[in-house]
Parts: sequence; structure tokens; C-alpha cells
Amino acid sequence: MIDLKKEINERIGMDTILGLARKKMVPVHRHSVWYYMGGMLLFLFFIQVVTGPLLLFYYKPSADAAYRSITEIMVKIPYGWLIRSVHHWASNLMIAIAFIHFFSTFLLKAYRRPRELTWLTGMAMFMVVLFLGYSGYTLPFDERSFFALNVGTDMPGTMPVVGQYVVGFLRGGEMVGPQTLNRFFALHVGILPLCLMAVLFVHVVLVQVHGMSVPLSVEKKTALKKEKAIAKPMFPHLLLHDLVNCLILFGVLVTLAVLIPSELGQEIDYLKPAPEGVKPDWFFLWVYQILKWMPTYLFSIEGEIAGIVGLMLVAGFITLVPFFNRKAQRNELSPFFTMVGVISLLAFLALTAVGYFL
Amino acid sequence: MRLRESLLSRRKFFIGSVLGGLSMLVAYVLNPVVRFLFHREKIPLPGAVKVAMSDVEAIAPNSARYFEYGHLPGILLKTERGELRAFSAKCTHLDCTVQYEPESRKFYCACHKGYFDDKGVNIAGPPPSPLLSFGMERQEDGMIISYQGGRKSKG
Repeated sequence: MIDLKKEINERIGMDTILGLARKKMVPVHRHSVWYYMGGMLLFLFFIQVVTGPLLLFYYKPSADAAYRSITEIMVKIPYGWLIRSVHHWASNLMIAIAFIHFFSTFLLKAYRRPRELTWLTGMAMFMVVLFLGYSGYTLPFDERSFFALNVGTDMPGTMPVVGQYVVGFLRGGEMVGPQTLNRFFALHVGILPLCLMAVLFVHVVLVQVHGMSVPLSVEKKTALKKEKAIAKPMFPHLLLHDLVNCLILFGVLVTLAVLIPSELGQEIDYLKPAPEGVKPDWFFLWVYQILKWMPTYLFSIEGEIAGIVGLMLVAGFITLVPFFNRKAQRNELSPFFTMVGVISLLAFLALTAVGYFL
Repeated sequence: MRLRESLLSRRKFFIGSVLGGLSMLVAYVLNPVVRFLFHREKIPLPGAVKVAMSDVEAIAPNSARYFEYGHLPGILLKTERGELRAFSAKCTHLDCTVQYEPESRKFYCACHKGYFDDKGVNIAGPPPSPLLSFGMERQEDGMIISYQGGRKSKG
């Protein structure tokens, strides 16, 4: 009789891996709920990697067939509506949880030494995920896709020097046209997921190398009380927690997909004006609102340019925050950066709400 | 009769319920995926197609030309005596498209060297059955070629 467990173990060293996982401890404290976001994101990414290729069985990436193929997926192919809706909602949840993950790590200063690289890879993935979300909703090539493509590919044009090259690269021509769809298709199903996977690998390895970051306030409190920090083994405790989270998340995902299936707008008519109240997806509403509020001229700079350059400076500052926040690097509390985080969070929420309701 | 102790330990019952629930979940997930993937578009063959008389007349004796019968390639043969015969050009072996060889007066499939005679009957090589033949009706402006009037090749 073959001892399957022994045979497998001999080949892939399962015991060593499990032994390491058992030894690996994850700190438990009042902020440890934020540790679960990463696992949830990983799970949603997995859902996308499965449902995306499924959709490719029927989606036709060409300007004259894309819209009709999505219609077919929605009304003709068995469960096509469900698979597309799950893909749609998983992307929305992924972006929402990525925002939570981002704000929680920012506010808890999890980026402090030696985790700067983990932060940088996380920011890179955040941008890729946003771009994936954006490129995804251009693919049905409906009216909304068309105007999203126009506005979105026009914005990089305001960048000095390289702007027009980026616009040309994204559009594949002067204007948004049939060729643009193929570029966004290649980005959405090929280039961006591969980039995401590569950076994800580095990110996850770094998280394993450094272990979970414990917030300074918690570290100081345990030091003050001379208590031993509480921790649970990663396997099986944390893993089971993660599994339960994913199960709940999956339930939420399917419920949303069934009750609010993803929509398909009007077919593109190049000669029709932009429809009333056309807006980007929720995760870009804050950018939309800022650009809408920008005056024509701000200190003699064109409003649009001022807005976009301003946003890029903010993004740059946030990306490089581990190097600006000297106090956190010395393991001291840094209330200024906490305030920056809280204000950014409130501004993000308020702008999104205003953009949505007004 | 009451058992003194349960045949199932609490642990076994618990693990069984969890695994049972999970396998139901897997089934619920797989069902839509499998149904989605195995959807087959049924494109019915047209009842009949028309080949223009000018095209028919252009065929030299002892030669053939292809025509479209829906998504199926058809082949229209004019024999030495001027008799017209229409077949599906799909080889009955593995669906390659056959060609007419005037020298040997046979249909030939290049994929696996299958031969059919000029009546579409499989005579050499791997093809298991004759070519599907179509019925024909002469009209003023063309030949009406129909599936119904023909002979089935398989089954």
C-alpha cells in the first residue's frame, strides 16, 4: 500500500513548509483586522484570473463585434450574465478593498523600516489595479466606454514633454477609434495582469520575510506594560480566518452579481453627443470632481493642467511617504502624517459622495 | 433500540458537515462554469442553396467546383458525359475538404489519402462512409441544391 502522504512529502517537502507555517506567528491586537485585507485581495484576484479567461471564450475584441459579443454573453450564453457580473463586482470589490488596504497601511505607518519596498510594490499594484478597472470598462465598447476612453486617454496629454506620446500610445492614433479598443484589450488581458502577478509575487515574499507590521501605538503599549505581545500561529489559525473571510466575501460577491448584474450601455455612435450625466466609475469620481471644480485658470496655469499636475504630485508624495516620514523611520509617533492620512481619507470619501450624488 | 454511544463522533460529524457544505458550494460554482463553457451554437444547414447557371455552365466536363452550402463546403462535379452531381466536400474520415482528381476520376482527400469514386462512394483509404450527396433540381437561372433530396453519408 502506497503511503501517499509520505510519497508527496518526499517530493515537495510538505512537512518543512507546514512546519515553517506553524512556527510563523501573526501578532494579535486591536488593529489586526486590517491584516485580512491582503488575503481578501488575493482571493478576488484569483476570481478575476478565473472569470476573465472564461469571458474570453465569447468576447470578441474588435470594434464592430465587441458590443454584440457582450450582448450575447449577457442574454444568450448559459450563465454568461452571471460570470460577467461576478467579474464586474469582483473588480469593484477588489478596488474598494485595495483602498481600505491602502488607507489602513498608510494610517498605521506599516511602511516604516524595513518595509519600504513592501509599500512601494503595494503602491505599484494599487495603480495597476486602478488601471485594470479602467481598461476593463472600456472593453464593452458601449457609449460609456467611448467617453471614458476619450477623457481618460486625453488626460495624460497635459503632462509636459511626454504627454502627447502617452496619448498616442494609448489611442493608437490621433483619436479614440477601433484601434484603441485592441490596445486596451491587450493591456487588460495581457500586460497588466502579468505586471500585477510579478509585483504581487515580490510583495507577498516581502510580507513573509518581514512578517506583519505591528502599529507603533501597540508596540509602545506592550513595552510600557512590560507584557509579552500576543500572537497566533499562522497555520492553521490565520489561514482558517482567511478562508472564512473569503467564503463570506464570495457570498457577498455572488449576491451582488445576481441582484445587480453588470450593465451594458447604448451602442457607440461616433456622431452622438456625450449623454447627460456621463460619469466615470466610482473609484475615479474623486478625480472627476476635482477636475470639475478646477477654475479655468489657477495662478495663470490652465486649470486642467494644474489639477492633473497637482494630483500627480500628491500621488508621488504618497508613494514616497516612507522616505518623507522621518519620525516613523525612527520608530516615533508621527501625528502629522496621521492627520494627512485622515484628511485624505475624508477628502476621498467626500469627493466621491459629491461626484456620485451631484 | 437505543445505541449506548453514537456511531459518529462529534468531530466526524462536524468535519463531514463542513466538507459536505464545501462540496455543495463547489458544485454550485462548477455548474454555471461548465454550462457556460459547453454552450454550442447550433447553425442549421440551409434547406437549399442555388448555384447560378452561368457558374454551372462554366464547369468543364470531368471537373468540379466548390460552392457554399451554409457553413459546409460543397463540391459540384460535372462528369465526362455532362451529368451533374453535388456532394458535401467534407471527407467522412476527419472532416478535411476533398478535391476532384480528373485523371483518376476520383475524389481525393489529401489529409490521410482517402478516395471516393465519382459517385461519392468511399473506395480506398480510411474514410468510413460515402460523401454526403445533395439532391438537385434544374431551374432557369440556376441549380437548386438541397440537403433533403440527397443521401446521408453517416449513420
